[in-house]
Amino acid sequence: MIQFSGVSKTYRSWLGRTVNAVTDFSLTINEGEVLGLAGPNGAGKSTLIGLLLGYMRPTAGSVTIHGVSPRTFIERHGIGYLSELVAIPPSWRTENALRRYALLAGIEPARVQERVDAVVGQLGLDEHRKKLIKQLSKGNLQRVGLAQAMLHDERILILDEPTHGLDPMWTQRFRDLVGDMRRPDRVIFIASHNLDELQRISDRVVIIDRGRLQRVVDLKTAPTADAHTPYRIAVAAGAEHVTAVFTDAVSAGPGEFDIPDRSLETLNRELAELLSRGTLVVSVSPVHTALEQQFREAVAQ
Amino acid sequence: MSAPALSTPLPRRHARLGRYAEWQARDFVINIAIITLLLFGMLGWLIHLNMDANEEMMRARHMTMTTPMRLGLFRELFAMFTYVAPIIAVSGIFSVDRSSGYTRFLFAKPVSPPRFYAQSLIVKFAGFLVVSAVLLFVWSRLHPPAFDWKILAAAAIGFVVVGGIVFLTSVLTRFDGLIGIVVLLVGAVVWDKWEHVTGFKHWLTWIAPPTSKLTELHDWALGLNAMGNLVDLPFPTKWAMWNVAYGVACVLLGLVMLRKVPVTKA
Repeated sequence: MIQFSGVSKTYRSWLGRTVNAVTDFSLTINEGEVLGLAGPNGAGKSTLIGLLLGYMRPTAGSVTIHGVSPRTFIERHGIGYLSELVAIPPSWRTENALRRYALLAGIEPARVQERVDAVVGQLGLDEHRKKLIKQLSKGNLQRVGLAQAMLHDERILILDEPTHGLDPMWTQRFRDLVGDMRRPDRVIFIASHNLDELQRISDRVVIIDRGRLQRVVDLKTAPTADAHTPYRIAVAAGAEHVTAVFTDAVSAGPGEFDIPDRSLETLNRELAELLSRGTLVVSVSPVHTALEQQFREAVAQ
Repeated sequence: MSAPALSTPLPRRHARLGRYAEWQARDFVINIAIITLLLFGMLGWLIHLNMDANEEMMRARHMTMTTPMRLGLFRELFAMFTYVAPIIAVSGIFSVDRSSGYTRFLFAKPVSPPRFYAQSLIVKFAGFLVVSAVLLFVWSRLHPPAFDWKILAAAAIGFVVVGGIVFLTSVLTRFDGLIGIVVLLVGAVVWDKWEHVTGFKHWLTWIAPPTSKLTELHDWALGLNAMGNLVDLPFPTKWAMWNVAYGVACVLLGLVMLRKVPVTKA
């Protein structure tokens, strides 16, 4: 549904200085997918989103949505978009802002209030309806931004740092909302620094750095037996056996040890040995999630 | 190459821009109309006080303040209004939305930037005419001229040319108000210096904004010539047409440029 083909974007200043924000980026995003976009600061995420929304044109290559340019697609069908910085005129009131966006989203005037009430309810904004935008806290403003993206039943949702400023309760609520919004005919594109969040809600995560696509991590496939990653092990009793079995283990606090990279096969063999010696294991977990590990490797390259 | 079929149909839809005009009108009232009415209301009040004082002084010398004298003072105020009020109304029309990031949400909706800002400009034009009519009506209760459509027509033409220039600069730069003023001043100087010379410089005047020629329209609307005499002047068709054409060309160029420039900051 969304196609980036050899896309590059170079910014040129008046003085002739150039910055390559995105270089030779190619990717296909299919219907039904929840795609994550991760990358360090300045990696080119915002530029990619700007190109996807048709807010700027690529210097080379092309971006198409269902075979047409992004601007053509958006002007015909609209898109749900939450920007990283929620910019709404500060003198607008929350409910009025949503009513304005509903009209622009193409909702019939007779149904505007009904849709506004629905998203206000979904995002817990009822008590903030009459407040000026400038009176809202960062988290509430973020929810208003999300609400305007959800006003219409959009086929494409682009969410840039959607949980930025949200408290833990609303972060969890957001994950549930994404789960509810997932549909076979919808694309949800989420850019975030929060790898844990991307791991939980995405089907694939695209990692970019210095404007280049570094790797695409498919989170639907299980980790392979030969995947190497460091682990942390916590024990309730028999801690003295840990360093005997895992000779390279390093203490990470009372009853906790960090174990450097090893394969799942090796880990399980050593764990069996540890258990046979009578150690009471509380937990064994990767120090980094699979996505974090991939991110570190991709960005370090 | 056609795109692969979608699993479910994707219907076309359009922003309800017509209904959105109500919100644009509301923004005009809150952000522009009130400040314009206050500013020119106060200026008008000061001139009114000044006229009263002059009248008092002249009466003491057994003289009267004539209608041409009163119209002359109004002409100064009206000229200022036709230059400044369109700048207040139009500056920032796109540049503020873009630099503040408001365009991000606006243009993720099924709406084209040229249509959105063309409508915004039309709403501002209508609002400007209402503000002009209100101010003229109040003034006409105190001093000449009487409320006349000719004065509103001259104000409207002023809006088209000055507003058009500011609209174009707003699409091209975030310093639109300032640059618009500089462009208008440079235009006035160029027309003053080179209108009657021959050669390249003369042709250059036809590229410069012809807003200094709005005075011909003001004279026609008030029936007052440059010497301060009451006369029935013919409609300055050439300068009216040229100003309207110049303003419309700036607006059209601005609308085309809205398709070319990035609608958000990088």
